[in-house]
Amino acid sequence: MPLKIRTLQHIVLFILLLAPSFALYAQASNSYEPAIYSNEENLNKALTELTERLSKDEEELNSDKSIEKVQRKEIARLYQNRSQGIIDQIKEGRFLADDRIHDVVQKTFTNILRTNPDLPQDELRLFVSRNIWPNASCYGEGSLVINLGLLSRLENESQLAFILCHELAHYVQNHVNNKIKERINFLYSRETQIELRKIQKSDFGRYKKIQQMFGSALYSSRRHDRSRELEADSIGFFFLQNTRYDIKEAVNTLMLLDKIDKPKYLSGIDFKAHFDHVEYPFKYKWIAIEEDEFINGTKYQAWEIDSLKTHPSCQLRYDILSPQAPGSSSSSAFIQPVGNFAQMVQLAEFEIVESLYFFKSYGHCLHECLQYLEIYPSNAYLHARIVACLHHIWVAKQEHEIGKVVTLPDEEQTASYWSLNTMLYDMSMRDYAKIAHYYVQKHKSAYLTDEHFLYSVYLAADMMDDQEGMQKSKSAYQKLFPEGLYVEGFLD
Amino acid sequence: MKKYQLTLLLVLFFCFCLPPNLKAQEISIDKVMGFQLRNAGSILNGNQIEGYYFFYKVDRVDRKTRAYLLKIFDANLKEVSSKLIEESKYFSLMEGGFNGATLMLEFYNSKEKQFVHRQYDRDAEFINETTAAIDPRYSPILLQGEESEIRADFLFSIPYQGFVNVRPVKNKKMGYQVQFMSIDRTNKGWTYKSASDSRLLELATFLDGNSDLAAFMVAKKPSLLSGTVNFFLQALDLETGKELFSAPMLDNKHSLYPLKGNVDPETGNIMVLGQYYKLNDNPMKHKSQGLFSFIYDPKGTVIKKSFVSWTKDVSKFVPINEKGKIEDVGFIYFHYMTKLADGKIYAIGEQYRKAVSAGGTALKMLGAREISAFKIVTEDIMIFQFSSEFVLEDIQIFDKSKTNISLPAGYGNIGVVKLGHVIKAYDSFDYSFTQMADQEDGFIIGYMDYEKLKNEKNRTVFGGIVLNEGEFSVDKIPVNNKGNRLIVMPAKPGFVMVAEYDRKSKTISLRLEKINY
Repeated sequence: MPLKIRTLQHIVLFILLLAPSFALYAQASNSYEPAIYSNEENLNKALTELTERLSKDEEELNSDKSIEKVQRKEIARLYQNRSQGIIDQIKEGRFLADDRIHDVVQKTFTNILRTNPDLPQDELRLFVSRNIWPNASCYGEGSLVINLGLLSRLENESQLAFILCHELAHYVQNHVNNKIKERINFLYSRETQIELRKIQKSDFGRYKKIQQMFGSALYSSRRHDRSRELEADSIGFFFLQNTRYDIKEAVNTLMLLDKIDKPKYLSGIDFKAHFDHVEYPFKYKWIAIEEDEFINGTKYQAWEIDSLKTHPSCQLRYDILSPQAPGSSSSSAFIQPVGNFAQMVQLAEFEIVESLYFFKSYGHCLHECLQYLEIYPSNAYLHARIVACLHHIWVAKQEHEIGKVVTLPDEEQTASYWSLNTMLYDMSMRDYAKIAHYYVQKHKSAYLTDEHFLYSVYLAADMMDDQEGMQKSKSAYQKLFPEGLYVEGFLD
Repeated sequence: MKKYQLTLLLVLFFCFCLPPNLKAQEISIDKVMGFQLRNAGSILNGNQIEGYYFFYKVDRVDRKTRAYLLKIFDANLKEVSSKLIEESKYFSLMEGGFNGATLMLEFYNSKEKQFVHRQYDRDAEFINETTAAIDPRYSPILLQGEESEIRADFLFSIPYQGFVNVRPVKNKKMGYQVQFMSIDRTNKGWTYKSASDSRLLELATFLDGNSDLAAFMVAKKPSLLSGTVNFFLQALDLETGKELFSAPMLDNKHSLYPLKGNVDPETGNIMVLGQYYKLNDNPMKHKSQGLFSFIYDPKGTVIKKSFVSWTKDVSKFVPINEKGKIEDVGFIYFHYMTKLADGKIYAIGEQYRKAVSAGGTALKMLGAREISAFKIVTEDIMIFQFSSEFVLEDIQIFDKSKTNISLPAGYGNIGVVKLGHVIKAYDSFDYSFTQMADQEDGFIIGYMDYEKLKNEKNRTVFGGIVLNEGEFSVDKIPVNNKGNRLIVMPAKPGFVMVAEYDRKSKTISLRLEKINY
C-alpha cells in the first residue's frame, strides 16, 4: 500500500481514538454535567451483597472455635460496623453511580480479573468514592474503593491497574480480617487482661506502663502493616504481570504516590484578575497574610512517629519492586482507548469540585474552581460554582457558621489556599455581595444560557437583596430549564 | 473573659489520643489510664488572646510527683507545642502570657505556697524560672478561680521586654511586691517591694510599660475599712527596678478614681483615665462627677489635666439630673477605657440602677430570709468617645434588654455605687469583654442579651459592638442554634470562639467565627 494512504489511515485512526477526548475537551471547556451518585438499583444491589457477605463471614467466624467466644463477638461487631459503614456511605451518596467514570475503572478491573481467573471474582465489588484524598482501600469483605482524588492524579490505565491489583492482593491475602483478629486477640487475650488488671491495681506509673505495654504491641502491629503493604505490592505486581498492562508502570505508580501529597496544580491564583471590577476594586488587604509570631515548638509524642507508619516509604517500595520491572516494556500503558482514560481523569477533576461543593467545603471548592480556571478559563460551570460558593459562605457568615465551611488560614497550606482563606475570613458581608454581583456582570454575556451560571445569577441577586433581579433570573431559568438541576433551589 | 466557661467546655472537648478502648466485662484501657484536664486558659498579650494552654494530669509517678502534659495552642486552636513534665502533685497552671517574644507560664505550688514563673522562647525552649512565695493570708485573694468565678490577673506582659507580676505582701500593714522577669537569659530581673514600715495599706495595679519603665497605679489607705483612698502613679526603672517617681494623683477640687492607663510609645508620656468625685468623697459610696484624664511626662510631672463633667458636658448628649443620674436610666458602670492608635479615647459603660424587686419582696413577705427586696437592673451599653485632648465628642447608646440581678439579703442597704462594684466583682453585668483590633484601630465589645422579640421566640444572644473604620455596628449570635447550645468567648482580634454542643451527636465542637460588620 502506498505510504501516503497508510499515513492517512493512521491519521484517521489517531483522530478517531482521540475523538472522545476532543469532544470532552470541548465539553469541559464550556461547562460540566455533574455525575450521579446514588440510585436505588445500586443501593439495593449493594445491600443484598453486603448482607449476604456479612452473614457468611459471621457464620465462618462462629464456627472457628480456635478463637475465644468473647473475641468472636467483638470481631463480629467490627464486621457489622464495617458493613454498615459501607451501606451508610452508599446512602449518603458518597459512591459514584455514574458510568462515565465508573465504567472506565470497572473495565480495567474486569481486564485484571479476566487474566487472573483464580481470583474470587464473585466475592468482589468495586466502588468509586467521592473522597478527594488520593487513596484506595480494601475493606476486607470484598469491597474495594478507589477515590476520585487518586483517579484525578493517575497518568495512565496501567497505573490504575496496579492500584487495583495492590488492593486485590490485600483481599486475597486476607490482610484486613487478619489485622482485625490480631488486634482483638491482643486486646482481649488473657495475658493482656492480666497485665491491665496489674496496672490498674498499681498506684504509680500507670501511663508509663500502658505506654510500654501498648507501645511494643503498636509498633509490632505497624511493622506487620508495613510488611503487608510490601506483600501487597509484590502480589499485586504478580497479578499485573498476568495482564497486558505495562508492568513498568507499577514502579512509576510508586514514584507518583511519593509526590501525591503535593497539589496537582501549583500555579498561583491571580485573585485580582478574577475579583477586580472598576465599580468595586479588588483590595489587596483581603489577601494580606500575617505571619504568625507565636510559639512554634516541638510536640510531645507518646509513641515514636516513624514506627507508627502503616506504609513503608515509597522509596523503599520502589527499591524492592523496581528490579522486577523492566526498564522498557512492549506492553501498552493503555488497553482502553487513551481518550476514555483522559476523559475519566478530567471528569474526576470536575467531580472533585462537585464533591467539595456537595460536602459544603465551600472555601476549598472555591479554591479548586479558581485553580481549574487556569486550565479551563471558559468553563461556565466553574464560574457558576465560584458565585455559588461565595453565596453559601455569605449565608454561613451571616449565621456565624463560616468556620464550618471555610478552613482557617494556616501557613502549612499552599500559598494560594492560605491567601484565599485569609480573604474569605477578612471580607465583610458587603464585600461578598459586591464581588459576587460584579463577577456575574463580568461573565454573564458569555454564559447566561448555561444552567449553572443562570442559577448563580439568581444567587448573586439574592446577596444584593435585588428582588427584581432574583425574579428575572428565576423566570428565565424556569423557562429554559423547566426540569433543571436547580428547580428546587430557589429561595423565594 | 469567663475563664471557668473555657475550662468547663474544654474539659468536655479536648481528648488525648489513646489506643483503642474495650467495653463490657473486660477492663477498658481508659479506666486504667485517667487523663484529667487540670487547668486551661488563654495566653494573653496585653488585652489580646495569642493562644491557649491546657494542663493535663497524666500519671502518678510516685507519692509526691505527678506527670503532666502541657499543651499550647495558637489563637487558631492549632497545637504549637506540648511537653510532658514531672512536678509536684501540688502543681497547677494559673496564667499564661506572651509578650511578642517569649511565653510565660505561671504555676502555683499549693504546698510550698509559692508561684513558679517559667519563661520560654518562641521555640518553646526554656529560658528562665523565678519563684515567689506568697503570704498564706493573701492566698484567698490570689487563688480564687479554682472554686469561684472571681479571678484576678497578676501576670502582665511588656512587649518584647518581659513580664511583671504584682502581688500583695505582708508589711507592717499590707504592701505589694513587683517582680520583673526579662526575656534576656542573662538578665535575672528584679523585685521591688513597697516600704515595709509603711503605716498604710498599699496595693498596686500594673498599667503599662515600655523599654524604659513599668507604670503602676498604687492605692494607699489607712486601713481596710477606711473610706479614704489616695492614688499614686508609680514608675519603676525597667532595667534596675528602682523607683523613678511616685506622683500623687491629686487635684485640689476633686478626688480621683483611676481605671486605666497607658504609656505613649512615642513620647513615653503616661495617660491615666478614670472617674472623679467631689473632694474627699468615697468612690465606693459616692456618685462620680464625671471622667478625667491626666497626662504625666516620663518624669512624673502632670502636664495636662482634663475633666468631663456629667452635668456640664455629658448632659449635652444625654439628659443628666443634678445628682449625676441619667434620667430614666440610672447610673453608668464603666467597664473599660482605651485609647486607639488615632488618639481617640473611648470609655465603655453599662447602665444600671437599683430597683425594688417584686419577686424578692413577695418572698420576703412569705418569710424568705436569703433574698433582698431590691435588685439591680442593667440596661443599655454606652460608649463615650473623646478626642485625643479628652474632649467629649459623642456618646453612642446600644439597646440592650433589661437584666434583673437578684441580691442576697442585706445587700439592699448598700449604696448603688458600691453595689455596682459588687456585681462587677461577681461578673453579673451583661458586658463580657473588650477586644482590641490588631492595629489598635478599633475594637469589639462583647455582651450577653436576652432579646424579647415580637412574633418570634425570645432568645439569648451574644452581642458584639464593633468599631471599624470609625463606624459602629452590632452583630448578634444566638446562643441557641437549631437546638444546639452555644457559648461564645473572646478569641483573637476580630473573632470569637464558638463552642457548640450538638445534642444529636452529643459532641462539642469549637470553631472561630468572625464578628460581622
